[in-house]
Amino acid sequence: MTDSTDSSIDPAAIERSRRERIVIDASARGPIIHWLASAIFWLLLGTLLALGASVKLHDPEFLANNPWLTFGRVRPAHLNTMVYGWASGACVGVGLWIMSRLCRAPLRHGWSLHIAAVFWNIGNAVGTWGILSGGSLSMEWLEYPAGAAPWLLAAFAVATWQGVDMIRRRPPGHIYVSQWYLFASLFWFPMLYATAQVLLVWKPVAAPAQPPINWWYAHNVLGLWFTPVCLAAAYYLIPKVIGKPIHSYFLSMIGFWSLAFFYAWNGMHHLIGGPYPAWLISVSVAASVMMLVPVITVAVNHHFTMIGNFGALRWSPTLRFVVFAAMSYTVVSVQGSLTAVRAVNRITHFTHYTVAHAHLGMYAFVTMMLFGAIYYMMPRLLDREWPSAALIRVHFWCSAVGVLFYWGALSYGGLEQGLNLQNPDMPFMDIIARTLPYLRMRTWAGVLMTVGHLAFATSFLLMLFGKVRVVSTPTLFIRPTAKTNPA
Amino acid sequence: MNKASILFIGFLITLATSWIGLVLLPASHYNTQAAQLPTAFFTNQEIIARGQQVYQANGCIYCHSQQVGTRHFRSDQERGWGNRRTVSTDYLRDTVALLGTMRTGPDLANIGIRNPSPQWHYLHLYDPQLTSPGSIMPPLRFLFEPAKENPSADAFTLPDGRRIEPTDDARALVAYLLSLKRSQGELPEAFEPPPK
Amino acid sequence: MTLSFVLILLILVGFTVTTVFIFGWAARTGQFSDLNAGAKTVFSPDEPEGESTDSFPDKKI
Repeated sequence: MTDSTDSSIDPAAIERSRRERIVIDASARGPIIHWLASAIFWLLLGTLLALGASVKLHDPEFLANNPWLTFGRVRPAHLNTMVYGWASGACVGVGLWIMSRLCRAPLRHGWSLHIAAVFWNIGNAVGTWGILSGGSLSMEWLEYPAGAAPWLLAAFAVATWQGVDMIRRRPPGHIYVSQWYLFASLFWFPMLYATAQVLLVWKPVAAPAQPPINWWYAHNVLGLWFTPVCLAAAYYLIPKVIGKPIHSYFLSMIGFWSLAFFYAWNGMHHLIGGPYPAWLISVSVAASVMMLVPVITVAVNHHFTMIGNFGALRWSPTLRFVVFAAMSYTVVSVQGSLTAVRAVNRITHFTHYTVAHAHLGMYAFVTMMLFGAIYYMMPRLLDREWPSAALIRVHFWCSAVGVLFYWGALSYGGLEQGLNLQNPDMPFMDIIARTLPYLRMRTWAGVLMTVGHLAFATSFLLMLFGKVRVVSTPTLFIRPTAKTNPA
Repeated sequence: MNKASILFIGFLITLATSWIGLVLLPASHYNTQAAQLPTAFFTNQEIIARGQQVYQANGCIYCHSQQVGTRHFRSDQERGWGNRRTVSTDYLRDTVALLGTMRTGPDLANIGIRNPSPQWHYLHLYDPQLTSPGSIMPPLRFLFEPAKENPSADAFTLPDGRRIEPTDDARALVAYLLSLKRSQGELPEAFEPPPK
Repeated sequence: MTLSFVLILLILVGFTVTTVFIFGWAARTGQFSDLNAGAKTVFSPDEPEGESTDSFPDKKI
């Protein structure tokens, strides 16, 4: 159908491909925006819960008398709404749209995705309510009570089916790297989630076996669901924005398969020093260090693609978020490989350093990548421009500075905490007292990030419902001339 | 890389290998171990089981771990958190292994040995500042109620003079905490060479 | 425990053999023959290579 390697100036081919793109974006409009809007709702709720949890750590009396708001419930509620409501929901929306673009296949049976979005929201609501009302299962990343899982799995089954439906309609020829990542992740996530639900919730295995399975699940959600979708987004958006193909397709293949193999073995690095046989832990430490292979591969690929085009960061909102996220991916992954080494883990385990690392991954990488993707997608889905460049700038700078401040403060405080914990002569209460300034800094960072999210939500709502300039063609962003585009 | 079916087989295999290594093997190993134990081993008093549920419902794992490390790796034992490392056998009796992920508060694996007084725990749970000034643990006042007309035996008086008594949830939670004596008794697999 | 080790070893050997086989198949059937073409699938005649497709809403020419 469309020969993308043919740089013809044949106007008929251009018109055909333009119409095809309009049809694809139009097919995605309703269902994808339903998923994205839902995800943003959970982002806002999760942000509120995050602020609450953060304040409670340095001011334990804050809203402390209501059992629904005790720290031990607010903290898992924050994690689960962000992981499932915001990040996973946005990944489905972004992933399916990129899949439809690359497969050149319009989304069919959009009603099924609408129902799936409703199911997804019900599952998250049941789950969040369940945690706050005292029904948390107390397993990290799996705290939603059992009633939530069927809704989430049913919704996700629709997403996987939609992905397969598009893959099967793809034009003959190359399957692009983003498609491999998306295709794989649409199967990996439900396999992981179903395994965890069966072996930990429905028919629980013996207690000592639960933490390995728990962390096999949790870490693989990071590496085999969020990472592939976000890398798929980067591999699609960077070339699309700057108009230059990925530097080395061969490297991207190595990156994909080494990620697929090594990542799945990482999970036990959460249990270093714990009551487990050494081989179980060591295999994960080794796999964690081997992750340097796919991570450096991806970093080299993205960097050499961007070289000479960094000026584009001035005029592309999408690229700012995407490049920030891609660089964060490299940093957090290298940090992860180092932290998995026993000598380092001895100090960092059980401290705020780990929380900082987790947020570098889930926010600076995953969330910022999803923001970038949404900034690219919405104008194409709605035939409208973003209402305000100022709001986008506020969003970017508050989020970027916020998360870096968060990470810096808590990493330093956590390292200090870890070193102190290894000193048996230091009274425990002293160790806690020394972490307080960093916990307060984290709250301020969180306030900054909240401002960014409010700016984002405002932009999104204004775009959906406000009076903004409507243009008839889907390509609204006027192509920069030589003056504005130094590339 | 243009055949979707080959891709599919590929990423199934990669997940399957780690599933076998990190899920199937531990699960079958520990399930076998648990199956070999006499049933009486698992009889938790109902109150302790309920206490564990209160522990789970209120998210104690997010600040408290329940695992004692080896002497050469961490200073847990020197801190007095246990006289030996905990091993997986120590958790076989549980329904959920609440290993915990952070040490914003101290490790609790052996809290039943270290703090055997229920009265201390009731005071601490009601308002941690009463026993541990400067603590950032949240107060769990909602686990308590004003002392009734006929106060229970475990009713106590706060520094400001009010009489309160624990609810059944609080009693259960404290019973659970007092049952935490994981490093009690020697286990051959917990052996560590003595420090030099 | 020995059974576990044997099992893991067998799996890893099996995986390696399968991987080598699949790579061999891929090389033989020409999956690697035109790698750069794959990289260009993101482009199309109306959003061709060499032209960018994003900007801030206030950057008008």
